[in-house]
Amino acid sequence: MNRLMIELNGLKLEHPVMNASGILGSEPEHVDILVNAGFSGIVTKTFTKNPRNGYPPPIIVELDNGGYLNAVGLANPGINGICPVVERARRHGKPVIVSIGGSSLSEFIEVSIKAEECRATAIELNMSCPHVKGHGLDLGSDPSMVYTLVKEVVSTINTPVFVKLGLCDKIIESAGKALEAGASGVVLINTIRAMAIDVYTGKPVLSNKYGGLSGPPIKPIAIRAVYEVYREYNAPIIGVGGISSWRDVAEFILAGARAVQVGSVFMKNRRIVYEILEGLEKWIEIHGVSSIMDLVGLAHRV
Amino acid sequence: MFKPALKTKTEQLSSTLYLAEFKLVEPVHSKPLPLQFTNIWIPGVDEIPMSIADYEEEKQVLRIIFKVVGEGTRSLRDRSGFFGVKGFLGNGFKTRGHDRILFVAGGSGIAPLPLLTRYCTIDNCIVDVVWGVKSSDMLFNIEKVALNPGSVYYATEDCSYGFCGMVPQVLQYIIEKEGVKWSTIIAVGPKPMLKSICSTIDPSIEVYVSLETMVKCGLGACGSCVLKPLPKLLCIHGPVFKCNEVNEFLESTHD
Repeated sequence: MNRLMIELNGLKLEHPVMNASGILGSEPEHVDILVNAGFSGIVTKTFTKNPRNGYPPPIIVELDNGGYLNAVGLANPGINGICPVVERARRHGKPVIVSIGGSSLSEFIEVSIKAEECRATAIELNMSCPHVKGHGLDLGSDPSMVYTLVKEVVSTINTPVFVKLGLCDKIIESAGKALEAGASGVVLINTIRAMAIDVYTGKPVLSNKYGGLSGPPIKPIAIRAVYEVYREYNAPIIGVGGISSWRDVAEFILAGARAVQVGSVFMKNRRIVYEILEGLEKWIEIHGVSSIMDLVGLAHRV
Repeated sequence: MFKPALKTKTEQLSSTLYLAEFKLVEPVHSKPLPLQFTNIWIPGVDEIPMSIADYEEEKQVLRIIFKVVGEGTRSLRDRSGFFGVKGFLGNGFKTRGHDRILFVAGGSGIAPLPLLTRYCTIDNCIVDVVWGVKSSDMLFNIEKVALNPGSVYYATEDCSYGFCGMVPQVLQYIIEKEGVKWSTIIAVGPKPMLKSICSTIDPSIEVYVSLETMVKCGLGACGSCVLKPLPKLLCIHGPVFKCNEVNEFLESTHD
């Protein structure tokens, strides 16, 4: 029996480690690479209705503190790019979560319907992109907007819906509204709006000036968000933010996440998933449990 | 962050090719392998992938050789002051164990030669060169930029200098004339040239090709440089491949 197997409201994964949206995931060949890297579920790049070129480079830079700053600008091939990516993941026998973005309710609905037609295993509503105006964080930080949007999508399609939220004052409330509206779970957190300036040229480094901070510097913030949302709602949570070892994954699980997504570290280490799984196996052993699910939220028990 | 790079020199090498030299002003803890590349940040303009032409480790001096094709490369030629260097990126080529290499370049594919001959000077390999361009005005004397090259065969498509014809045909002719004295070929140039070389060269010679595609992040995340239909990224798995690793890419119609 596979002790690492997890389940999120019907979404079954052979182990808890998926890729984070935005790490490849917009082309079928990207899916091949992610599957080879060992991810249990494939999360696509955020798809919008129309193709987007994204911002000109620089779009991603590594920072001196071990983090990354990115503003890719939701580059994606548009709605017609969804089916080839989903089909490729299915051919590998992997669950595939289609990340969906939009600037209006009707766009979210239209892209969600397409993802369902393409037979996505689940969808992830990206309500937290920190660097494209009207496409993210401004939606996710408004709990009533979250409720309306999730409710509409959930009542239109049968595919399980996860909601990805970012850091904002109302993240706990927004998570609650997403769950109340029928989301199968929440994905916490997205990158955090940030900036870097080059001191030699005196210029912001990203072409978009502002971007999203990821990597180890944001992990404690993500752990806090997962912990609080779990404490409030005891809901299925996918933890994301700064994971770079099995210990980080274990920490997210103890805080209340059932699964995790990994992004930045994959740029440095293409074998990270296998290393994490090895560590988790030992960790389960130490705790003497038969399933990793038994360790979810353990940090809340006093 | 980008490694801060102060431009110290720009030189016109031929009608179309330029050399730019940068001093990396903060300590650098790695050195590039031949055929690795860097993404050069031109503040406010672009970030563009550039083959590393040469690198002097002690002085932290980096050189690139490039053709002006758009706003980014024009700024690279005309601007002074600070730029940014990302990397060194890609897999590169290890010279050790190769005793006689034939470096085959089409057009600006000559760029990575100086770093290759610098490594071979240490590792005791010989680098002979076939360099083909459209017309003689695009050529320059490669001894100006590269240490100790072996035999150099220049070629032009319009027959204005050196051997006459396209690179793959000239290469075939040279191998027939000289005999198979090379165990290794490294080819750098446009996709049709690489495709043709991969499909025609005597299989007793190990052929490596250095590819070009659209590179954006250079870090293996954005996926712009995917070598469709293969599950490979140029910035992580390349740019150097053996022919049999990338046949499907070379034969595809994707860019």
